[in-house]
Amino acid sequence: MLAINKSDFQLIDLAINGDDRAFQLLVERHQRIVATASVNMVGDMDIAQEIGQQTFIRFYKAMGSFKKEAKLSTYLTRIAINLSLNHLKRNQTFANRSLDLSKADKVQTASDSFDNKQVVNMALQMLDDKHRSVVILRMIQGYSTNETAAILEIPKGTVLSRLKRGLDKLKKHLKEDLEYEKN
Amino acid sequence: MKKISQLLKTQQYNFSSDFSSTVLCATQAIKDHSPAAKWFILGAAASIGLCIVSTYLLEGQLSIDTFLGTEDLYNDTLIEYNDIH
Repeated sequence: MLAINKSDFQLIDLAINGDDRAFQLLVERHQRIVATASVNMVGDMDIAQEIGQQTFIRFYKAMGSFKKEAKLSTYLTRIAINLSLNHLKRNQTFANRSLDLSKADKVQTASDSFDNKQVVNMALQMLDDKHRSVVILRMIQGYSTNETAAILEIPKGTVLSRLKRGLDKLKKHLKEDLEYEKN
Repeated sequence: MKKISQLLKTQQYNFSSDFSSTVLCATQAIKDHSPAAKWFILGAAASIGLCIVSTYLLEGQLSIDTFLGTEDLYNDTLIEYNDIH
């Protein structure tokens, strides 16, 4: 029977052969990285959840042709980031990107530091999409510069410059706009 | 900057507890619809194939005129037709 300690690739093989529980286990195992990428990208839990569903549905459809030399988490993160960027492009009005506290309230937290998380999430939403995606991948999800470059399909140098610019802007927003330092 | 790094590391999120079930339902729907769509496309392709074969057997050739049913019409016929009317 299905063991929880099976590798991703073993679970993929089982899922391709019609084992729904194996696919569900893959979703449970990787939902956190997809949630982290999409919530931080779009700043809204409901939209992020839709993007998360689309991410796993895309993976389900492409599972048969999944190349096993790539890490599944990296593959899913790439889909989630791309879907988030597509969503943001489609809804590129400032009104939709407003930093509404009630919206942030809907974000589920995984730690006790809710206020800090909320403030940082709002500051992240103030960044450009291209800077935010790099900051999320490098600083929040812990991908290396090479992995980030591969996920976003941009040169390593661009990752480094966007990271620096993104962090500078984030620091500025946290200090000035949200008066983080005073709190 | 160190403080920002620490703050960013806490930006981890989880979807709702029923997320995996919702995804599974969606994939189930895809699975259920796939055979129906496959049969529909197969049926349409077979109909077109049958149509081509029967046209060839009846008319002895496969041209656009044959398919349009205008293979017996020539320019002269059309000029005569115009003169009469």
